[in-house]
Amino acid sequence: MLRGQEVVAAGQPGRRAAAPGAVALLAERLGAALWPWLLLLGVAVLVVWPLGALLYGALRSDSPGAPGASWTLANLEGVWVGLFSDGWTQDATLNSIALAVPVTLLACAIGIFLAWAVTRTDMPGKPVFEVLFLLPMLYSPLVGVIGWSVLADPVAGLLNRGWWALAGGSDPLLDVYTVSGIVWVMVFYFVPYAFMMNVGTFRAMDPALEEAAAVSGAHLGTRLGRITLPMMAASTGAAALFIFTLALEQFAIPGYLGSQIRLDTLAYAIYRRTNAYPNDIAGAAAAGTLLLLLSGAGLYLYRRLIRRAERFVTVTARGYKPAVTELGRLKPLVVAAAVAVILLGSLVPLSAVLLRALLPVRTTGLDLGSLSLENFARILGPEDIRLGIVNSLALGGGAALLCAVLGFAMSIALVRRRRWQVSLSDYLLAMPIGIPGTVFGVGMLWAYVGTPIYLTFWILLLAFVIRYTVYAVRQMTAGIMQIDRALEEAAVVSGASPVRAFLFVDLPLLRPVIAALALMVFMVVMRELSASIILYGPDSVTLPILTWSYLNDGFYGIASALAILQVVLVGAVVILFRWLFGVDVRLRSRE
Amino acid sequence: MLGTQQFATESRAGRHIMDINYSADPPGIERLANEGLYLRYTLKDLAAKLDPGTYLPNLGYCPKWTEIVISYNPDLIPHERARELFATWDGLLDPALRGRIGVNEPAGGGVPFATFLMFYRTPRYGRAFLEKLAAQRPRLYPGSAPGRENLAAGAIAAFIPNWESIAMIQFEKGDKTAWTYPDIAPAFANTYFAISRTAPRPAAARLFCAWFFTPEGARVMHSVQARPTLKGVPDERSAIEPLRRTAWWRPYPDSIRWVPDTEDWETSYATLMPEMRRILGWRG
Repeated sequence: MLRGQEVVAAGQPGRRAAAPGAVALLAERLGAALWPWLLLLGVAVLVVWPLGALLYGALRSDSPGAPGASWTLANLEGVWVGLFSDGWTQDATLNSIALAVPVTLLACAIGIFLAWAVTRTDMPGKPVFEVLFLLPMLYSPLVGVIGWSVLADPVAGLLNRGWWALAGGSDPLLDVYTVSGIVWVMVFYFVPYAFMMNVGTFRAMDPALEEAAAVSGAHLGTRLGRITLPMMAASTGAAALFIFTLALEQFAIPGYLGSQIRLDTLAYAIYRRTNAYPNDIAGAAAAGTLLLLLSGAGLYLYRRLIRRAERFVTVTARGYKPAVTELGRLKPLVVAAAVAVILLGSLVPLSAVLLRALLPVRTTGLDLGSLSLENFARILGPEDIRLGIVNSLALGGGAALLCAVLGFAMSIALVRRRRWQVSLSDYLLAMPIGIPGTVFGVGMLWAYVGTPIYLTFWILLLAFVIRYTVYAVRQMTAGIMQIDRALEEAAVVSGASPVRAFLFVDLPLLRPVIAALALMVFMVVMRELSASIILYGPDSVTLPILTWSYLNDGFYGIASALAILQVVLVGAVVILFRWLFGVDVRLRSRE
Repeated sequence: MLGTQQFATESRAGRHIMDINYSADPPGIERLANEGLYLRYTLKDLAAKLDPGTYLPNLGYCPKWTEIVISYNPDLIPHERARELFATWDGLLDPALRGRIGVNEPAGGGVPFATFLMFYRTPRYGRAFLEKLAAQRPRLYPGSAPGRENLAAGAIAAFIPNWESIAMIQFEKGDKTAWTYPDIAPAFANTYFAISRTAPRPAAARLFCAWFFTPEGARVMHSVQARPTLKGVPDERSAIEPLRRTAWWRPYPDSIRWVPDTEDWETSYATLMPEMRRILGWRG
């Protein structure tokens, strides 16, 4: 900040007269010394309070506040010692990692490929593809579970029955109740994360190096492997970290599909402990520390990857026009791959869910004559569903806005004002995403039960902001790191104040990233269930809670209709976002 | 389950929000009552009107029975065959059903645990029965709803444990699956009305609970196809008449009831649950 002012003063000597006096200078220096502490304090209050409550709970023999509860290491011992001695966490942890690794690799590979295809190639129909790739983000993981169960059950799956009708035999063509089946469903669920977290980076990336390589005769594969992808390391690392973390804490997909083949995962094992009676919340809280460590390891690797931010500068002060790679003979293949991802990742399972929504009940054979809109009619009337829609939209919008603002401030501090307090705040902010939502929800419950926000809309909003600001930080950090500081400094040298330089240089360049992260937070909140199921009150019910309730009560048709309604609602918001923020990006590409 | 945990957390923090907790955790109710969180109350003359085993004296009252049945898909097992096969639980061990049975896993709630506990505590079946059942390689479900859905779709031929009131609700919706009663089956009071000792509206809470044990309140249970615990109330469940017109349904035989001991439940859970899961094929 001081350095910036010196530059301004050098550029415009006339301003020196307005230089701050000794008191103002002291205040400024004090402010500069204090803000990292204030940031750390703010983050600590937000994050450490609920997580501290959890840790406290994990160290008690009974729930916090219970009479006779004493300090104990038994819960942590059960989790950590059990990890190496055939305890309840051993298989579950190994299975979780065994699922999360291939899911992360495959989802990132597909997501990055799609992001590259829509931003850097002459693939036709890019705007449409870009929206369709996001389809899986419009619905909860339960859609994948319902859809693929309807389609790929080894006995009753419609695809298998169709296959038998065509080819004869009785061996299933597809079986969703296998490890590869579970990976399949999870990969398509997480591909949009990898896509969204890389598409903005591709779009903002200066293609000078790629062009130079092309001019030098490097073919497409070499350019991608040796230039484009290494330059994308920050956003790719961010995507991989999040997908790995979320795959570890994903309960619904491996929980529903894995139990049929006795595949326990840590998130599901934790869920069981909170949902049994007598329950074991303290054990669940202790197990949360295991997931925290795993996700913390991921965060450490990511931070090592981006240690030297300058390596990832892709938006430079030099003027450029984003290059388009001509696919040539590969074009039909790329389009076919994109269509396959959309079909297999969303349209096919979504169609199965729509079919289920149109069926009053499941029957052994598919009775198309019984199709009706009865389930949709039943979701249009009830007051709780109207309330769920309003709450979900308000929570999604509110969390997106707050996470974007907080994420932006935090990212600026991380990239441009490096202090240890900022790094520590960054680690702290990443912690809530590393534990299952249910466990985090219990921590929030313990932490905020005595406050007026308990059981209100506001505790849900707070929980989402605490849990998802890290998304915004990661994505925004990757975006800011790609902007060469020379741009801002050039504006400052030309007489702009640091604020003006930020507003008219940095902010427009970051607009696609901000829009993308806000949209992502919105979509994640719209389908969040695991923490909100613990924290909601009668007036703060959300669509995913209602869907879960209907599903749990066996009303698959109504739950499916609600899932379709959610797709329509969130889809409308996505289109609105593209209309509001996407146009500029495309215009810039055409300039 | 988390509702009871939530109630305890709120009460200990001095937040008195709930008047009544409809809890499925009788040992937990007793424990929290000893801590002073639940009101010890008596509904006048009620004990004489309720079936035994459906209330925790002066503490919690259960308005409905949960009666376990074996559900099957008649497209895969004809009604006659199902009644014959499932006259006892041993029918599930029929080699023809290998890989075609669905089981709500023991950790999937009170209903499955009660059922597996019954196997353990009944000499005719015992732990060995669970081992034989596991050898049938059943599909395991984290809850009963996906099991029922898969049963209706024909992915499995039989599903346990289901309970009759939910099966009747499915039947009324047009579900083609059916159910039958083995020689012994858990019937238990699954959820109890317990009143907070610091209920914001204590009089209304008592009145609400008392009302549930009147004929009018019993009708609410009938509306969800459950049998009220209040004795002497005519069965007005709407599913009964259409069920009577079917060839396969028969009224629940009271002789098969096995009522779990809640104390046994609480003390056995921590050791039996992992064992049951291990027998069924899990390692952890």
